[in-house]
Amino acid sequence: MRLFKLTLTTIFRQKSWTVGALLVLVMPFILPQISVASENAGATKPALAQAAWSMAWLTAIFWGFFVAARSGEHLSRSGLGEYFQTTGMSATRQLAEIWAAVLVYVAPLGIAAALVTIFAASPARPDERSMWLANNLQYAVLFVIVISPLVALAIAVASRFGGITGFLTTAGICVYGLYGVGYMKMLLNIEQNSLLSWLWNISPHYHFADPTERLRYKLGAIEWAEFPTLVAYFVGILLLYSALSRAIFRVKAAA
Amino acid sequence: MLTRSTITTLALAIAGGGLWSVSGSRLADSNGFDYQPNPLGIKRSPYGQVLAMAIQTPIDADWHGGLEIHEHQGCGHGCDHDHGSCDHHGCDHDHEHSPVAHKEEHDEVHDEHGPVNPDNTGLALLDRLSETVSQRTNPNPPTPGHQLYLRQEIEKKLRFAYELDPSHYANYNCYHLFITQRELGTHGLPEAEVTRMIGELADYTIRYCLTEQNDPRPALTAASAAYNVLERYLTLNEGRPGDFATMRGQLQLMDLCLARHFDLLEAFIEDGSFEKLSSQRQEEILTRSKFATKLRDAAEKAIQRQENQEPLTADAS
Repeated sequence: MRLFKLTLTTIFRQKSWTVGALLVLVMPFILPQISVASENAGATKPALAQAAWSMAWLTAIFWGFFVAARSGEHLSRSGLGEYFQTTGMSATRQLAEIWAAVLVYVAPLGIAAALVTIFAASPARPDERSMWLANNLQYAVLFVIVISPLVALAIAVASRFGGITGFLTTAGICVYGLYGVGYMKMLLNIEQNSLLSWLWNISPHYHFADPTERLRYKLGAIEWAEFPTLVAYFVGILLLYSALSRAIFRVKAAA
Repeated sequence: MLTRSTITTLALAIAGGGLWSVSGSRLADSNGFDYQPNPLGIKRSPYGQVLAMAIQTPIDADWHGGLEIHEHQGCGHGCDHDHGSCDHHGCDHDHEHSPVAHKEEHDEVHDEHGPVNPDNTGLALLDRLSETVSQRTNPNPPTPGHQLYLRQEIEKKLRFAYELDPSHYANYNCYHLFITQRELGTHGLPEAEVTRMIGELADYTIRYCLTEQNDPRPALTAASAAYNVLERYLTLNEGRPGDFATMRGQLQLMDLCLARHFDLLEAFIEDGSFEKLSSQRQEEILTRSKFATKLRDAAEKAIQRQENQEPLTADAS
């Protein structure tokens, strides 16, 4: 666990995690002031819930993947990976330890968003409150399963192709999965194209893990019978991306 | 010879791919993949409502920058279009007046917002520079093709503003106006299709607005939507037998929206929320309330008039 501890301490000492914490824990309480909630008190809770989850996603994409990519790049470029390999630590283990260390910072973003939403924006009716609780917990789980493989991919791509490539690749895949697939579907609705249709089908549909719409309309928790299918869908992506990450990851940068 | 690591990686990839495709096809079967993209849930959100207000300025810029050129050339200022209920650029008043009066009113509004201050040279310079970079020096009016393009751009922005906040009075009415006015719209659809579009737009707007539990303004937008459909019926029905039951039903819907507006307004005033609004916003609500009530009464009279005319038309035929 030496590399895990080293990465964990390095990220902690770099202190950029404070920005992420501020965005997820403080901004949800400030942002509603620039929404119509300043005129309409009824909009305060929806605005807060939306801000909490939006901040969690944005922080994970722009900070989490950046930190992961930088860690991956640093490992292979600084000779640290090579050093650990000489001590008998395999490349798989190195990837797993860095991945776990970055996740210690990134996974709590979704959990924090869920907690902020549960404690500060729960509906007043008791039955709706319990649905709200379940729904937020469901999305916290989905958030972690979606973000985790992308963090591994950022580390792996950065270790081979550099930090900028690692960050842009994963941020791009995530934004595409959250919003791009929806716009692609709109294109397909206008004009059918078999290639685009196939691409759309095999795309990662991360929008399933975006709770902003569901929470706003208080649609209740996702059907518990259907939830395992959703989890299986994202676990499938997790396994595939883990394999891909392992194949791409290298402990030593090319000369 | 495959190493242990390679075998593990391959096994993970196969298991992941299988799980992804099996669960993906299950989700596709239940139409779980169909959704409207809405980045960060911004459309129809409290933040979207603020953005929808902000987007009025670019719409105004497109309008004044392109479509009104032909009018400006004649009078030095022009701007004699009827914005109706659109509140571009913060001037949410009816523009049915002379160009001179319009200019005075614009000046007055600008003074209210206080952007021009002769004592503040920095700000005056910025205003002058802003005018310089946006001033049209091309003496030729836009070609019909360019005008169509500009109208398409305005329509896109109006639709976007409406999607951001369907309950906003000006967003809904401007978009409605663009669909109905043949000289403004870009689609060139037959009247029956336009009527269907108006009906669908109004129906969605009314259902969306009536879900609001605190703010009295969306109910006014709903009343306006109900009126617009009724007005369409009245226009189409002119001089021929019509479905007065539908019209009366639409009038009842308008009454329902207005009653909801006044209920919410009363609660809004009682809980002190009304006091928190700026005087301009307060005035806006009260003016629109009066306007909607007048429209409702006028619509009822128009229905009565057509009902009375119908037997005469039938006798004449």
